Amino acid sequence: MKSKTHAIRIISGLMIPIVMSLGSCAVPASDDTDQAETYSTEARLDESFVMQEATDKLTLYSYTMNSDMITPAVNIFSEMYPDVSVDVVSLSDEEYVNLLSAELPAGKGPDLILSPTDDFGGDVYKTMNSNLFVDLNQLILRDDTFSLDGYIENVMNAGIYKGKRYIMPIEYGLLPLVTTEEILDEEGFSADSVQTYESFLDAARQYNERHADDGDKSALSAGDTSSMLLRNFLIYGSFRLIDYEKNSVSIDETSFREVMEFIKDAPKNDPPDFTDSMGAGLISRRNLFDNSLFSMKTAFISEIARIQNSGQTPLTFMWKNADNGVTAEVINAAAIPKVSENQVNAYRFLKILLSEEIQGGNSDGITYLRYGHPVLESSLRAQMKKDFGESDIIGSEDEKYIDSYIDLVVGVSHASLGTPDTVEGFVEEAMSPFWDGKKSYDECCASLVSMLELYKDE
Amino acid sequence: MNKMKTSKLARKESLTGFLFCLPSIIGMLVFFVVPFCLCLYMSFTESTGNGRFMGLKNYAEVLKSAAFRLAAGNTLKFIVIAVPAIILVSLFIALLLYKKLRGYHFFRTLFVFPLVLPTASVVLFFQIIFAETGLLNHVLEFLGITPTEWINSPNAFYVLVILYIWKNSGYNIILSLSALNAIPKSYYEAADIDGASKSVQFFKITFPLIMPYTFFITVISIINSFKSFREAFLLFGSHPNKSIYMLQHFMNNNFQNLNYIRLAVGAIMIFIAIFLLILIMFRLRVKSGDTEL
Amino acid sequence: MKKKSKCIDIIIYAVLILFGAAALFPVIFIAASSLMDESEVIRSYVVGDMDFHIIPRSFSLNGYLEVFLYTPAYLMKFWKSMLLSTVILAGQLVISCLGGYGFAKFSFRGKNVIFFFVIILMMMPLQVTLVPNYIVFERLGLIGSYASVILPGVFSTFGVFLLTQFFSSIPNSIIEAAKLDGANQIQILCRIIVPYAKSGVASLCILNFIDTWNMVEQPLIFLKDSTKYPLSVFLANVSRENLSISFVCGILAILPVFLLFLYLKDSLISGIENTNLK
Repeated sequence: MKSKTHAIRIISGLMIPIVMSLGSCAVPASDDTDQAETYSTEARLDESFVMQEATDKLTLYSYTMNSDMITPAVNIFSEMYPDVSVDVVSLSDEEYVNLLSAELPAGKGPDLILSPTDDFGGDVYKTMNSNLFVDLNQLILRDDTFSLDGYIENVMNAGIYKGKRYIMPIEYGLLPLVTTEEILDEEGFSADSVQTYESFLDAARQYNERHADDGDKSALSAGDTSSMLLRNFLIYGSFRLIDYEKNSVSIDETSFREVMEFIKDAPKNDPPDFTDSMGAGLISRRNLFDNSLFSMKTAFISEIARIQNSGQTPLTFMWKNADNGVTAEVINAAAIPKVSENQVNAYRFLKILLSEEIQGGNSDGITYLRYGHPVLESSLRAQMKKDFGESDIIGSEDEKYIDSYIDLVVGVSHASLGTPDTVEGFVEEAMSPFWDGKKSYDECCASLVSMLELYKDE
Repeated sequence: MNKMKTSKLARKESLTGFLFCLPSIIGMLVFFVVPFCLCLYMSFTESTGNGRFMGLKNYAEVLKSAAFRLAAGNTLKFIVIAVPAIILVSLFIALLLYKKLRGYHFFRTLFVFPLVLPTASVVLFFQIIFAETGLLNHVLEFLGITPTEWINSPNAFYVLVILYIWKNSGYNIILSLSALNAIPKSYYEAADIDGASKSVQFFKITFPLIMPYTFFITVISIINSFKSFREAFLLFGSHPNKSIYMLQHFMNNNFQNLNYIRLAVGAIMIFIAIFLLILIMFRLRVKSGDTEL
Repeated sequence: MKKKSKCIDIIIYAVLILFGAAALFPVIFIAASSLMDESEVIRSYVVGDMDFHIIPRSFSLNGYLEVFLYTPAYLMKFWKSMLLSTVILAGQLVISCLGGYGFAKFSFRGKNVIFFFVIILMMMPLQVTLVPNYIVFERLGLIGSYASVILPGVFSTFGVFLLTQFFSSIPNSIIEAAKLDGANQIQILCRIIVPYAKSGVASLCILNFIDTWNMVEQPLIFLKDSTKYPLSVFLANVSRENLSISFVCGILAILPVFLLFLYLKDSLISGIENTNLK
């Protein structure tokens, strides 16, 4: 008897909050109107932000994707701040991911997260949305010795979400496309005619149609699988799919459809065995464009040299996004979890990662940024001048020649934190029947939209 | 004098009982109640770094989420369909086994196998059967029925139900057999003498006497349905077809996305639902005349 | 009369065989696949269209040799699983017998409410307690040690719930008789209760062992060191590369549970046959 009435009392106690919250669902929350505004990229001082005191510890997690940078940075840090004990925990890839998801909610974990955006907890945008990271603007605004001038602004702004800078890009890449004047002539395209998003897509499509029966020809050298093509288009074509800030699914009907149809009609060859890479496909006229490069570093330079040595004239331009600007991809980024107790040290370490020593590489020419370009503009220029200058490519003695390449790299109009694997997976799953010809575009698109709607609400 | 003695004895008994339960209670407190309270606390905060009290805002947000509502609906649907189904199937098989025909031991051992198989092997096996080019579709084609997509379609719900029943029947069969064996043979003998038919015996003797165990078996079946998430996850992925997107998917995905607050909110709501469910079952049990608890 | 009952018997057999086959089929499949040559496994299940067949075309004990002789790592995982599961089971038995007896045969203030919470906490999904448990263990400094996996398993309330149910059906008259003979509570528990409810205790053994044998998330998160992971974690992360090994490990994983079941199967039914429920 006693337990019954006791239990009833508990239930009614719980009913009240449930009814209340259901009630608040019925009335649209005032927050909805706030979300309609767009967030500015201007850094604003938040008075309520409390700066931590400096401590004497710093914990970092190192694994394959960031160890190149952490080791030298730790050396510099220890010299600058000898009183701080730095603990670098070395982990395997799997351990890293698992530990973050268990430790961060528990208030533990590293003081600074440094990794590709894939490893920021599955979906980097959702992670930013869950308020896990410190707004770095607050730290920078209060620091007289540091500012983000001199860094490539459009790349750095990729880490801004809802007006706050949660993520700091450290390294970025872009997709330079290489072609040759000769093959353009042969196919009847002019150099200018492939420079816009529309015309590039058009040229590639025409090439594929023309050579559909030639068996081994494909407009894009690394576009042999739908996944690869999709990945390139989603990032560099700058398809957002989900607007996280507004919490809505946004697929630009026309441009998305164009891309999907392009992928559908692209020839599906066997998985590439890299015979077409490094310009070989261009030289042998098997490809119209080479899209296998990820930045304009040594691989790119070798390819240019190789093409020149075969007697042809290389031509480079950037993969454009649907607005005809250039989208870069942030390769490695850093963030400071709010639960960290050593935020000051983490911030100091972050500044070292952004400093010339790390961004530019050491005096022996070894670069710490494995795959991409530095975000510090002076380091970027210096490194590219050096790489090009030391190479065998024709024209490398001419500064203007090098400057034209540098301008391409610096002239990024927008940067992206990449497409989360899950979202990419949705597109593949929904669109595969369309690519295989089993279902119509509208059916697949509807199913994609419903998947994305569900996902964004999770 | 006597009264004092008995009440002293009663208190001593009471204390002994409590001491017996103490290790379990302490363990329960440390490893389950305290974490639960932490979870409850976190569900009201803004984010894991920030203890700011959000009131019921988090709950409102989660309830507004279409994903959560879908997950809740699907989980409920699954429990309402799969749990009675498995109880009936297990009871049916247990009744067959109860006859103790020859080979009874062999069959009983057989039904335990699905429980025993490691999850990964089970999933592999189900993938092979239900894949688009899998065994089931081949059989259907052979029979002249058009094969259909099983895994990435609304049919996934039935695949999951079948998986759940297949895997957990062994559990329930063991328990049902124990329940059946608890009924004294003398009752049936008396009924035979009175000339009652088998079906009357079933409804008047068997059925009522296994009722107390049914509460217990139902609770366990529901727990197992929550556990079946692991197989569902391995077989259908973390974002499966809408028909089987359940609360565990919602929670697990938020766990992967480092959004523990949302997970905590979802968990508390599940807790409330379970609380109410068990309460109702408790009262039904008391009503059915069961003397214990 | 006899004919009719024989007919029914045949039907019963048919149904049992049908269900039994459904239960047994996957085991046969895995056993057969574990005897296949690695290249055949790859050809049939990894690359291209699935080619489902039971009888191995290339009989090879390579997988077993690999697991038992060449690479000690798999056996190590097996023994780690055994260690975890048996320790947890032992702890569970002790705690649950004590607790089950207490809840079933005694009454004290608040018993019903506590028991109510025993049931509810049992149903808590794993993700809920995972992170807070992590916090608790971090404070206790237990992360990385087996204790962080063993302790929650030992104190899982399922055992208490199960045994309470079984113990409560033991007639009080027997307990009274034992008391009159001068037995103390512990003796009553060991000599009377547990043997009487053998089937309940045996059920707990099997079910608990199966649960801990198959657990994946807890070891993954609480044991930071990947060399400490038990077999279940390995099996959960089977990829295309080690598919053939996973078949062998699957059989390896079945064995202990199966043997335990064989050992306990008689206990599962005896002991309760004489109980009077009312």
